[in-house]
Amino acid sequence: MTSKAYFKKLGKRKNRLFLMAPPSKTLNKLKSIIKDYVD
Amino acid sequence: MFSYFAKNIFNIRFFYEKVSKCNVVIFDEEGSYYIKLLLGNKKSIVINARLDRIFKINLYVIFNFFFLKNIFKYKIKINYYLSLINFIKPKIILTFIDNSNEFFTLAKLLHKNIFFLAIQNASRFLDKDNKIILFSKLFITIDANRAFIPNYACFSKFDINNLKKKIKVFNYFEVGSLKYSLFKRYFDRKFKNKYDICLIAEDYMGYDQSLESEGLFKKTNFESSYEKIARYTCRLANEENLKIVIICKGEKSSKSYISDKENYGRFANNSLNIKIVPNNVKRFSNYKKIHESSLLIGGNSTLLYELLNHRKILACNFLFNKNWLSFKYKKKVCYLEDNRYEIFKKKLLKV
Repeated sequence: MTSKAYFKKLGKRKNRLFLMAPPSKTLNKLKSIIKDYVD
Repeated sequence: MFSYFAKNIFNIRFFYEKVSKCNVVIFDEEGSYYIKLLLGNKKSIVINARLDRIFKINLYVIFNFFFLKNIFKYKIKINYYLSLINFIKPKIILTFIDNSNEFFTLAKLLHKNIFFLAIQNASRFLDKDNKIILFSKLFITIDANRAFIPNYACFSKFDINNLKKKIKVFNYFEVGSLKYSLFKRYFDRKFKNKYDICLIAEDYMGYDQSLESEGLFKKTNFESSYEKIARYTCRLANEENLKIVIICKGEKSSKSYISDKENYGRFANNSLNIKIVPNNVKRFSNYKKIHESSLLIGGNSTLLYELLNHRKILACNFLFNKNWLSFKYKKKVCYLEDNRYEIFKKKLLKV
C-alpha cells in the first residue's frame, strides 16, 4: 500500500475527532496562551 | 509514605539562598526541559518535586514567618512549595506533569492569583464507569474528584471531550503534542530510512497492583499482550529478513531500560537485524528512530497517537479488555485486534 492510499484509508481529516493540531502550530498556540504572563 | 520518605532521605540536600522573584515557575523538573525549550530565553525557576532524585531544600524558605505560620495547616511539602511560591511571586506556573497531585493541590489553593497551566504529557484514559481517571497509561490511578487543573492544554478535541465534566478544568486549549512539535521544530531533517519496523517497547514495571485487586485489570494480560506484539514482530523480522529497532522509554542507565533490554532481548535472540535502543530525552532519539523507520508498531502508547497522522502505524490491541484502544483506531487500516500470528503478518505486510 502506498503512503497516499494508507492515509486515505485512515479516513477524512475533518472527520477525525482525535486529530491533533499540526506540530507547526502547537508551539505558537502555547506561546500565545502564556505570552501575557511571561513577558 | 513514611517508608518512601525514609528510603529517599539521602537524596535531600539543604542550602541557604535568598529567593529571587520570577514571573515563570516550572513545577517538577521532570518535563521541564521541554517547557524551557518552549520558553526560549525567558527566565524561569524550576521547582523540585521528586524525592527519588536530588531534592534541594532552601532553608531560607523554611525559616520564615509564612512557613512557620502554616506548619500545622498543610502537609510539609505543600507548605514548602507555598512558601517558596510566596517568595518567587510568579504570574504563571507551568507543568508538563499533568497528573501531579501536588500540582492539583497548589492550583486549588492559588489559582485565583496565579495562572496555572498543565500541558498534556501522554494519553489519558477513563475507566468504563468514568469513576477514575487512569493516568500514565494504566500505571497510576487518580481519583477524578481530586484532579484540578485551571488551564489544560490538551492534544486534541478527542481528549477534551473525553475529560470534560469528569475532572475540574476551567479552560481547555487544543494545542497538540508539545514534544512532537519541539522535535519538528529543532531536530527535524531528512532522515535516511534505516529500519523497516520500529517497535515501541512497553514498560510494565510500574504497573499499579491496586488495579488488579480491584478486579479492573490483570497484569498477566498486559504482559502477554506486549510480549505477543514483540514475539510476532521479531518472528516476522526473521522470516522476512526485516530490520527492526525497538525503542525503549528509559535512558541508558535507567532501570526501565535495563528491564526492557532483558525482556525484549529474549525475543530478539541476538539477531543482527533487531536492535534495542535506549531513549535520549534531550536528543529526542525515539522520534528520530521512528522517522528512520517505515512503520511504527505498538500497543497502548502515546507515541502511536502522536504520530498517527504523520507516520504509518499499526496499533495492536491484544488486551483482554477491548475498550482500551479501540476508540481511537476502530475500523481503521492501522488497527488490529485479532491476536493470531497469521492475521498480524497479513495486516502488517498490507500496511
